[in-house]
Amino acid sequence: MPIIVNLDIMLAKRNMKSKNLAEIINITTANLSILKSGKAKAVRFSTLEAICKALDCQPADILEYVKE
Amino acid sequence: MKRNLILNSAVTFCNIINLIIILMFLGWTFLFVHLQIDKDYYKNKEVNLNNLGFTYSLVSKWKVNNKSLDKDVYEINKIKTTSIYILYLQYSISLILIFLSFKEFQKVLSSVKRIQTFEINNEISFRRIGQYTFVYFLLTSFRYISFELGGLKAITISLTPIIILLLAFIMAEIFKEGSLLKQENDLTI
Repeated sequence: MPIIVNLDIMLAKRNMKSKNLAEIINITTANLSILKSGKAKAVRFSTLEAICKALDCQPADILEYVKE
Repeated sequence: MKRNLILNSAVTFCNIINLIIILMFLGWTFLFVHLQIDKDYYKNKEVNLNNLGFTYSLVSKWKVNNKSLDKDVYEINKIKTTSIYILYLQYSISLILIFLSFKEFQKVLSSVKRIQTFEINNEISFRRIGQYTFVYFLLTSFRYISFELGGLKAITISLTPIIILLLAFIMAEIFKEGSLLKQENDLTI
C-alpha cells in the first residue's frame, strides 16, 4: 500500500502511548493497532479529525504517500 | 423474530431431509443385501428406467435372444452381481452427496442465525454444494445394468442438478463479494 501511516512517529513526538490515544479518540486498541500497522483499508474523517485533535497535528503528519 | 422462525423452519426441514436420506440409505442397503440373499422375491419385478422431471434420457436395451419378452429379461432378480454392486455404489454415493450438501446448507443457515452471514466459510460451503452436485450429476447421468439374458444402458441428462449447481456457484460468488465488503468495513477505522 503506497499510503504510509506515521502514527508511531507522531505518538513518539508527543510522548503519548497508544493506549492513551485509543482512549481519547474512543476506538479500541486493536483498531488503533490495525491503523498503525497499515492493515486498515480506510480511515473515517471523524477518526482522522479525532487523531489530529488529540495529537495537535495535521492529516499530512500522519499520512504519507510513497510511490511503489 | 420472523427471520428466526423462517431460519429455524429451514434448519428443521434440513434435519428431516437428512433423516429421510439416512433411512433411504438403510433401505437401499437392505435391498442390496436382500437381493443377493433371496433373488426369487424379486421375480416378475421389471427394471424401469423411466424418469420424471426435467430429464432427457437415452436408453438402449439388448437381449441375448431377441424373441424373449422384456419382462422375462429385465427382471430385478436377473441382474448380474457386478451390476448390483455398481448400482449400490452409484446410489449410495449419490445419497451421501445429497446428505453432505444438506449439511453444508445447514452450516450456512446456522451462521446466518448467529448473524455472521458474510463469512468466508459460507462461500466455501456453497462451493462445496456446487462440487457435490456436479459429482451427483455425473454419477446419475449414466446407468449400466447387465442382466443374465441381456442388458441396458442409459445416458440421462437431468436439468435439476445443473440448475442447483449453477445456483450454488452463483451464491458462492455473492457470499465471496459479501465477505470482501464485510472485511473492508471491518478494516475501516
